[in-house]
Amino acid sequence: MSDYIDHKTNWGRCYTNNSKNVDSFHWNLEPEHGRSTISVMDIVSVKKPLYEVLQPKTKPSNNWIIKYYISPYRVSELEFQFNELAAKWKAETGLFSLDRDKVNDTFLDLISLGKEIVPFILKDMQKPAGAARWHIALKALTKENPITNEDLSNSKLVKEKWIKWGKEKNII
Amino acid sequence: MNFPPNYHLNLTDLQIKNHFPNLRKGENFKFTSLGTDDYNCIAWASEITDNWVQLYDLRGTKTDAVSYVNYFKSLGFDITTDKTVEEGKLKIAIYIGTEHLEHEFKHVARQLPNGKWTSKLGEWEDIEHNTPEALAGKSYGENIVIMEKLI
Repeated sequence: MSDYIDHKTNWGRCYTNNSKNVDSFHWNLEPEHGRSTISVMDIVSVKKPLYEVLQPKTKPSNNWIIKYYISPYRVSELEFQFNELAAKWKAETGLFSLDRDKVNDTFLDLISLGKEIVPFILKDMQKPAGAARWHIALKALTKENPITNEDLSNSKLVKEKWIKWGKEKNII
Repeated sequence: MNFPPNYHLNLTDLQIKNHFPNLRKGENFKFTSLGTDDYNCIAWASEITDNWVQLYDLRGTKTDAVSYVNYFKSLGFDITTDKTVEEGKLKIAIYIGTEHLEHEFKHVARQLPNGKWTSKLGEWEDIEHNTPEALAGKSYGENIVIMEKLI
């Protein structure tokens, strides 16, 4: 069987050849009008997209049936770039416990996209698995800081305060 | 552990390959929680699950290993060379990276009563691993300092 996408329902399937676990991956399509992303879900977390992308365009080699959908919402070039870099950054630094270790080359690439990515960061922070440690990027991009060093030990509070800041500034 | 519906793992096969070359799925580690940013490895070493513990100075987050060794000394730990499990003693393993000029703190794992070790991998999952060396590599460093305290 071959991979297919039903453009009416936005659902599709791909068939892979290996028998163990599915590694996270995603594909990018460039349809006629703008660029869409495909969020790939593993066989267990059917409703939860996988965000990390280290080897785009690499298919997992399993016998799993992967369900995926094409988001009907088209992302801008900037958001597309942000999503790619954010996933890469999380995959590279998510394992570290010190904020300083999260500042790597990919982090600098993210910052270089400019403060226009602040809404995307705040949106990411609102996800259930959103990274609280975005605060270092937000501080660098906005030159503002609604949190104190004491707040930094409470990830929930860090996220709440930055999201509140974003709402007050009408950014989200 | 039993995973809930819609779970998501950060420590995938790809991440194991990239960060932890000594980890062997189904052999020398197992998952014991899902990922969360509620706490980090330093908090988990003290069984704290609602705090992201870091040390700070005027420049921001401290990264030097000496500061973190001293932090654990302030909690009653002393350096030892014995990593075997001993009744009445709690042991931790501090991972030190030498990527830059100074020795940098990278991670800390806590020994369990069964002799295995438990680690919170940053914002990722908690895992139980057989030895401290299972997490050694370029990400967490190759140098491991064992500390112990009486309990």
